[in-house]
Amino acid sequence: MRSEIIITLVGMGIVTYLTRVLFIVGMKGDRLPPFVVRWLSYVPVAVLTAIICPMIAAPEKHLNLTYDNPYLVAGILTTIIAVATKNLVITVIGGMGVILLLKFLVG
Amino acid sequence: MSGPTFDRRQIWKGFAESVPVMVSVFAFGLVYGVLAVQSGLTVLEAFLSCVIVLAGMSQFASLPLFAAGISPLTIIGTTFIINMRHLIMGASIAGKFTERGLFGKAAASYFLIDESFAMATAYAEKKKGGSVRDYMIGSGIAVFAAWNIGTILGALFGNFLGDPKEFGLDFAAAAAFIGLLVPQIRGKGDILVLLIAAALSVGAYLTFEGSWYILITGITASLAGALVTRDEK
Repeated sequence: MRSEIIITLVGMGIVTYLTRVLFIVGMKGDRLPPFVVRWLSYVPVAVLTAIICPMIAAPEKHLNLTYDNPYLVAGILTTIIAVATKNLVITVIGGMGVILLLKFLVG
Repeated sequence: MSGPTFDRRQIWKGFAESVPVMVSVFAFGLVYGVLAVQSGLTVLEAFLSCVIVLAGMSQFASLPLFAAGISPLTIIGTTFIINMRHLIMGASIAGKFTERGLFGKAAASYFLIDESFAMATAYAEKKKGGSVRDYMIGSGIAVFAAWNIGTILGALFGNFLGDPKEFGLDFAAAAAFIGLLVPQIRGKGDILVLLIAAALSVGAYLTFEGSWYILITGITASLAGALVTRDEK
């Protein structure tokens, strides 16, 4: 077990617990301003998009928006699977099938 | 005995009614476990991440960062940004707790998870009078158990798979994120944030070193969305 990983995990755990405990203990009947609620509600979409897009649009650290980029094509097809099924496990397995097929076809 | 008293029946009720949720959390854990070991974590580290962090989306997000050897501070910062949504959930559920004890609230906070929050909120809306706090703890224990068992089995299985690239597992993380993102798109505001985040993240990724593009985009794209839209949810 590596200490740097454990330190990182503990740090992740502390900041996560803080996000949970702060308002459960701190709120006394008052509510968050609607603007803040709206902002925070958009964070997961923003973060997930930020993780996905560079992975599929620039897999070799330069922009490649052509059909030669298997990650982009697979990303689009996987999105279609996700919209159709709304099921994480099917989406992951389907996505892996698509990328394997593309790599096999493209070589 | 001094200290807070928990209503065991309520905890059990929260647990029992969350069994259907456990199925999807378990499957989610399997995927996380496989990806965790493919990203370089050991089975034990993958298990510890579930106990210490217990927040699936941020644990998923940390995997490509662990794999790339990104600095702990960036991973911790990214985790905080992703989990800021707990603030809203905490503010909302706190108004439904009747107990005042600090320790009880602090213990319940550990079990504030997307799924247990949804279960406890639904329970509170039925106004049956039982403890919402203890119901959420029970539901959280169910999620905790399913998440850990799924992760351990997934991690053990992932160890048997060889080279990630041979099985398309290098793309599996992207597919998992797509599978997590799509159900979150519920309105025009979400689509707007998605488009802003797409352009911003790719631009920032190509411009800056390291993984700051996730943090930068996470904060600014969501803020831009909140400034442009009005309440729709």
